[in-house]
Amino acid sequence: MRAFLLLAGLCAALASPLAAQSSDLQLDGLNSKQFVSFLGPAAATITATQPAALTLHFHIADGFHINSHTPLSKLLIATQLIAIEQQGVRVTSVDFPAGQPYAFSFDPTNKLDVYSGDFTLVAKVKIVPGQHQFSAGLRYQACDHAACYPPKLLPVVVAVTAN
Amino acid sequence: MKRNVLMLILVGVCVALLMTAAFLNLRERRQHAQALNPSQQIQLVPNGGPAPPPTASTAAPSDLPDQTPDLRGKVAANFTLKDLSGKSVSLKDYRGKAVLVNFWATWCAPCKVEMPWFEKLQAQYASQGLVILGVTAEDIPRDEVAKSAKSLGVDYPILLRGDAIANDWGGLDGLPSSFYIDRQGVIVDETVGLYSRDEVESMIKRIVNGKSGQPNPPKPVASQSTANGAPSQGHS
Repeated sequence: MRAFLLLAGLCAALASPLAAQSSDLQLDGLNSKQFVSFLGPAAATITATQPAALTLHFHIADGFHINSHTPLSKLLIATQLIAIEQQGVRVTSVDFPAGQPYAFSFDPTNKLDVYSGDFTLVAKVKIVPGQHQFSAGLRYQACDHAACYPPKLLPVVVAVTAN
Repeated sequence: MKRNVLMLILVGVCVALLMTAAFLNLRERRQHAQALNPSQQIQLVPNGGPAPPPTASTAAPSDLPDQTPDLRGKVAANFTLKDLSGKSVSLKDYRGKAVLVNFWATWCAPCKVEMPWFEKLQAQYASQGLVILGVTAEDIPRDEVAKSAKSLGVDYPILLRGDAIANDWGGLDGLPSSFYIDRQGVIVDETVGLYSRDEVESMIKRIVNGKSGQPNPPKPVASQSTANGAPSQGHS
C-alpha cells in the first residue's frame, strides 16, 4: 500500500509541471517571421521577496524599426511587454527606453518615434524564493524603408532563481 | 495479485506521463530555438532612413529571399467582403474591368502615402474601366476604418476584414500589398511596399490597356535613385 501511495505521489508531481508547461506554450505559434530577437538573459538570480529588476535585451534586424512604447500617433501600435501571470512572480512595472526620431524618406514631414538596433527593457519584479520562469511576450510592429508588417508577439522566457 | 496488476498500471501511467513531459519539453525548446534562429528570420534589407548603411549581403535585390508568393499570371481569388456601408462586394462583380486591389492598414504609414494617389488615378482612369478596391488587412471597428479613409480623402470602395482572406493573396505579410488585375481576372502585377506614383500609374495603364507585365521590374519608391536602400520583399 505504501508503494502504491508513493507512486501516486510521483504521478501527481509529474502532472503539475505538465500543466505549467502548457501555459508557457500559449505564446508559441505567434512567433513566425520575427523582426526582433530576444538576446537574453536566459537565466538570472535575484534577491527573493525584494523589488528586483530583470534587464531584457533585444535586437531589431538591420534595416527595420519598430514603434517605441510611446509612438507619436494613436493609430500606431506601441511596443509592449505582456507578462504572463505566474504563481510567485509579480511584475510591478516595465521601464521602456525613449524612442529615436525617424521619418520615412517618402514622407519626411511625418515624424515617428521608433526603436532600431539594440534596445533594453527593465522589468521590475518581486519574486518569492525558489526557481521560477519569467514568461512574457514582446508585442511590436515593424517596418522597413517601404513596407510595414503586421504586429508580432515575441516570446521572452527567463529562468529566475530567487534566493 | 490484484495489487500487482494495479501497481503495473500505475507504473505504466507514470512512464506515459514522463514521455509526454519529455516530448512537450523538447518541442518547446525546438520552437524557441527556431524563433531565435536568424536563418528563419526575414531577409534583412537596408533602411531608407537614418538607420545602418547597406552591407554587401543586402545590396543586391536578387539576394533577397522572397517569401511572398508570386501570384502574377494567376487568376485572382474571388472574395466577398463588406464595404463601409455594410454592403457585400465580390471581386467577381468586376470581371471585365481592370481592378487594382490594394491591401492596407491604419497603422501602415506607406499605405497612407499612396492612397491619395489611388484616389486621383481612379478618377483619371475610371472612364477606361479602372476600379480600385481598398481592402483593410486588420480587424478593427468599421468607424475607425471610415475615419482613416476620410482623413486621406479616399472615396473609392473600402472593404473590411481583408485579413480573413490573406491566405488567398499570398499571406499579406507586408503592407501595402497591391494586385493589378486585368479584365480577364488575371493578376498582371503584384507589389509589396510603396512604389513611386509613376510606377503605380504604369501598372494601372498595363491592366487598363490589356498589356502584360514589363520586363524590367520597378522598385519600391525608397530604393530608387532619390533614396537609399534596396527594395523590400516586393516584385512586379
